[in-house]
Amino acid sequence: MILDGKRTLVIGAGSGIGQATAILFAQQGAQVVCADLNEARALATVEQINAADGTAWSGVVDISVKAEVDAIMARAVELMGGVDVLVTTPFGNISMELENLPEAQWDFEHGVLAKGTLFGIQAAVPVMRAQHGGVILVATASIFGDYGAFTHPAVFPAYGAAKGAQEMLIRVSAGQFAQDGIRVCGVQPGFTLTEGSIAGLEDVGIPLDGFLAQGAAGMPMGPGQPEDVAEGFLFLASDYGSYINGYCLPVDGGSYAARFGRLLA
Amino acid sequence: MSSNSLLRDKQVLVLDGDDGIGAAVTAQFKAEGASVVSVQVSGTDVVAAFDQATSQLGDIDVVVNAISTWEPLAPESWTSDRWHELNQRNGEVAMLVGQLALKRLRSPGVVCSVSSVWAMATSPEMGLFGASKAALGPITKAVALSGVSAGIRANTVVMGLIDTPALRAVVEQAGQAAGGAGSDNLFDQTIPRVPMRRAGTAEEVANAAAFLCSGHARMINGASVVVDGGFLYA
Ligand SMILES: NC(=O)c1ccc[n+]([C@@H]2O[C@H](COP(=O)([O-])OP(=O)(O)OC[C@H]3O[C@@H](n4cnc5c(N)ncnc54)[C@H](O)[C@@H]3O)[C@@H](O)[C@H]2O)c1
Repeated sequence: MILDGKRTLVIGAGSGIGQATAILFAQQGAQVVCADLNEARALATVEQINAADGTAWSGVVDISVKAEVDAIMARAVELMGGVDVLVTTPFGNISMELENLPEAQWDFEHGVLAKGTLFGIQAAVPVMRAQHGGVILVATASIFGDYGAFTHPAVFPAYGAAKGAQEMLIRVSAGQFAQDGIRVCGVQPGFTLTEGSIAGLEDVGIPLDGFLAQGAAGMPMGPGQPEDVAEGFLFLASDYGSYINGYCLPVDGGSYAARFGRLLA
Repeated sequence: MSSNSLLRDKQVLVLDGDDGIGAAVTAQFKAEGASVVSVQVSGTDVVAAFDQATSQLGDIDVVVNAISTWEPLAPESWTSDRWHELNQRNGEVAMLVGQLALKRLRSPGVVCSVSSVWAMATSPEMGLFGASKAALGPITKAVALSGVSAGIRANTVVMGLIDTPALRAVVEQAGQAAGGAGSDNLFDQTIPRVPMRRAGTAEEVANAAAFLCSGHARMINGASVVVDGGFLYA
């Protein structure tokens, strides 16, 4: 199997893309610590994996709190003897408001996405450096926030800015820690049907049906399933991606390519 | 690396260049369970390559365009003849591969183009080559978008510093074109510029291509996947 023997920690494993990634990794032979803010949901993912004869444990973490991220990393090391792959996929919420964007909203989104990514990297690096290897993977964004500003539609100021921060953290740490044998990459999901994305649309007053109809032209293969996006994490976590570093992989059926005029090379 | 039969039962046409990448793709794809017909295309005769694959395999599921015609050349040495030749072997071949793939691949089909970081970054000596390779991005993305209704995906693998004898020679030529005294280890001297502090192998390029051509990558379409150890972005 593609990830035989890999010790992995997935933060955000309670729902959507993180959950599908934890399940796929276990199917491909990895041991998985499934961590989430929502303990019951993390446990449900673990139960699914164990019922299919996989190996998994659950854990609770708020990725925006450094001490908690350090603690879940320590627990994963204790359970598995090390961590070869860290995947982070938490999602907070989205808002289109800019002129009257509450400061607390900005801080919240940056806490979950930007600080969460930083804390994940900070917790993983010493463990992976000591092992002389590891892979850190972050769910970033494709149509909603790649490199922050080049987004079309550029409609989510705090979310988009925090997504841009994630991608810059990926690139910087990919450069700094490559000599320790650590690769750092992102996966940019296109619009993917998850509890988080559907609720997020509702929060900003967009019904799913309308969004899918209106957005169809920008989604050549339609919306993704979390299982599809999980395959991108599998690619980058595995030896198939052994020379890929500092790169964010779109898994979006071509949505990214369909946004004409950008990154054509 | 052990194989996982990612390409079991896949019938694959590999357009082979002479830089070692096509040979590695052929070997790795076979190791992953594919039946592979590898063809050295003369000029731009991509039709003949497809015909040969059809006669040997029947249906074709996957085509990998691993042809790169390399030409390190300083701007003062550029000529229209060299430019036309590079455009034919890099750009026009990619155009024909995409067009024929849309017509002739069996669904679910996959196109994989092999490009270079010089299509996305440049140096004086690699500008002409890079310009000819840059055609692969938009062409492959256009095929990716056009292919959706026919069940055909298309992606580009963008390779960085890769260690094959031919690609070592390209780096040495680039050094000479830049007016360097000519050293026989310019390739090794370039390695510290790669964040991972090593060159990649042709197998690593082939492995990325294998994943992209497999069913695992069913939702990866129109991507330019950079396989360069962090050279471009880190
Ligand atoms: N679904 C999409 O369309 C889409 C598109 C682009 C990018 N993304 C990105 O992919 C990632 C996953 O999104 P999803 O759609 O699967 O979301 P989701 O809401 O379905 O799942 C996110 C999970 O993260 C957990 N979580 C939230 N806050 C947390 C915190 N502070 N600490 C730890 N865990 C926390 C949640 O409990 C939930 O289980 C996010 O980074 C999101 O921005 C998603």
